[in-house]
Amino acid sequence: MLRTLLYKYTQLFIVVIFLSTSVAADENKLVVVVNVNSNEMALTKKQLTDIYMGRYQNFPSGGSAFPVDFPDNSRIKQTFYKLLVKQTEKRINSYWSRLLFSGSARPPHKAEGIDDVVSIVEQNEKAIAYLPVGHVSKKMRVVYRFE
Amino acid sequence: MLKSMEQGLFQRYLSLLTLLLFSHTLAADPKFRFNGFGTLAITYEGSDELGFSRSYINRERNDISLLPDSIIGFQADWVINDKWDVFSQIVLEDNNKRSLDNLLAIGFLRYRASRKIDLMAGRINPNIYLLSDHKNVSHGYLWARPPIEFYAQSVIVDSVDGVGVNFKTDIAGGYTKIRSVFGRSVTEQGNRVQNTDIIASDIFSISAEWSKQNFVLFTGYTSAKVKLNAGSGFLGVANTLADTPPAILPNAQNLARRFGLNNESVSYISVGAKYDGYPFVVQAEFASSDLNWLITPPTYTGYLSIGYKINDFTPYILAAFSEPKDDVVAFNFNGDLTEINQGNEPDFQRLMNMADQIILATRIDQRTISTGIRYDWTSSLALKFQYDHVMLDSTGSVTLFPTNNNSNSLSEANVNLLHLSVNWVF
Repeated sequence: MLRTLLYKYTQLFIVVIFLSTSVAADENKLVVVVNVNSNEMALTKKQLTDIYMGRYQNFPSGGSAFPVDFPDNSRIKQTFYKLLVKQTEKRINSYWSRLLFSGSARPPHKAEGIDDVVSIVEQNEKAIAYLPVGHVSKKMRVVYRFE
Repeated sequence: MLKSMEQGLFQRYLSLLTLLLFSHTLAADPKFRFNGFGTLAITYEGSDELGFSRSYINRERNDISLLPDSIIGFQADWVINDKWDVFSQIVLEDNNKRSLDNLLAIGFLRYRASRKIDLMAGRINPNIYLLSDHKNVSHGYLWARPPIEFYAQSVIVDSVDGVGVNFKTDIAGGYTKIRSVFGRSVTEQGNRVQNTDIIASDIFSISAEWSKQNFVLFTGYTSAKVKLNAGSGFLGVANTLADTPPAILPNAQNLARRFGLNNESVSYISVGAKYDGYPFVVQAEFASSDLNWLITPPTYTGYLSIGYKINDFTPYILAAFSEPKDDVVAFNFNGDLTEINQGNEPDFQRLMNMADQIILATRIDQRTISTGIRYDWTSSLALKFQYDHVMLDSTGSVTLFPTNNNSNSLSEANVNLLHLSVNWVF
């Protein structure tokens, strides 16, 4: 009897751990968001790269874009650039040395942390940012999901 | 004299201080951005007879020095609204001639006409080569400095006062940026070439850069009219040549014209490619310049660099060359001086020597093999070490120059350079 109960609770524990882990993993998946009032409905990976790598300062629809970055050494920022262009944060900074100091483009606005990123996207209709999906609010629209 | 120099320096630093304070005040405004870059480098040049400089606007230094490769820059970018912004950048380096005008590397007003088109007016870098628009920012490339054989002469058209347009589009799945600039520039060389300034007018430049994933392809074309605003010593040489009877120097009239006191046409054409993947980073450029001018004669230049990334370390090798298209013109005159008025022979010989010195001051005929390593310590700070072995031909070098002012010629030589630096951006 005791052995059966122990077996059942062990199974239940494993299921709970598995579900919570997969939910947590889902919530950590990165998505790209804009303000809910933005004209952008969806972006391709190339269009996203164009904006975050300083090639274009506007969305494909023509509206001005205000890309937002996480602070340096943030794990979310490192994951984002690995997914986007397969480059480390150090290489990205070296890349921006050229664009920034030739006057070609400005790097993304550096937010102070995840709350700041959320606040900027919710308040600025030009903003675009990457976030763990768990932080997406009703004031945002997801325009790209990383596989 | 000394007092006016001190006043000039005081005014320069006062302006810088004002700019910094102004920038600090505006830094809180997200529409205003203040950034900077720098390189603090120790360079060792292993020749007693030659001094080293990065280009002919820089002073030559020998032995161990902090000056040849050290550089610092500040910039401010003010976004007025979605369409308009103002960008300016000042660069402090070991210039031959120090003036406020030399400090301002870039400064323009930009109008973003559409997603694909920007219009600019002011002081613009026409980007004639792959690294031209950021060659002062060492953090942005692998080596200690851009290959000197390739980049030392292009300084003539680095900062153009005029108008420009950027056009951006997608071609064959890659991002394409085309830049065209029209204007003029004045390059102050100071004492390096007899106090001459190079005035380039009617500059027209067009360049195209195509990038896709890890690949970048580049091509550029620039043309201009150049002339010298010469000091008295230089004018004396040119005028004497013009007055020299053909019996003494048959080609004298033609050579006098080629000194560039009148407008001469110059053109540069270049192609380049870069692969920046993992673990290899490979970059190469080739250029040809054409002009009928003794000061910067027509030249073929090129380089190839291969780096291999190992985590944050990137060891690399670099090979560069500069080869004049024409044979050297030298005035080592040993002919019959009987046509010259008695007593004037020493003056004539001295002028011929000066002519040689002027030509050799800006001519490049050299090859360099370099090896080094870059270490990315943090995302905004990199350390670099580089060893260069420079093989000089006897016909001249813009980057290695006799330190003895009485010397008017180079002999074939091999010179070693060592470079150790800290490079940062903020």
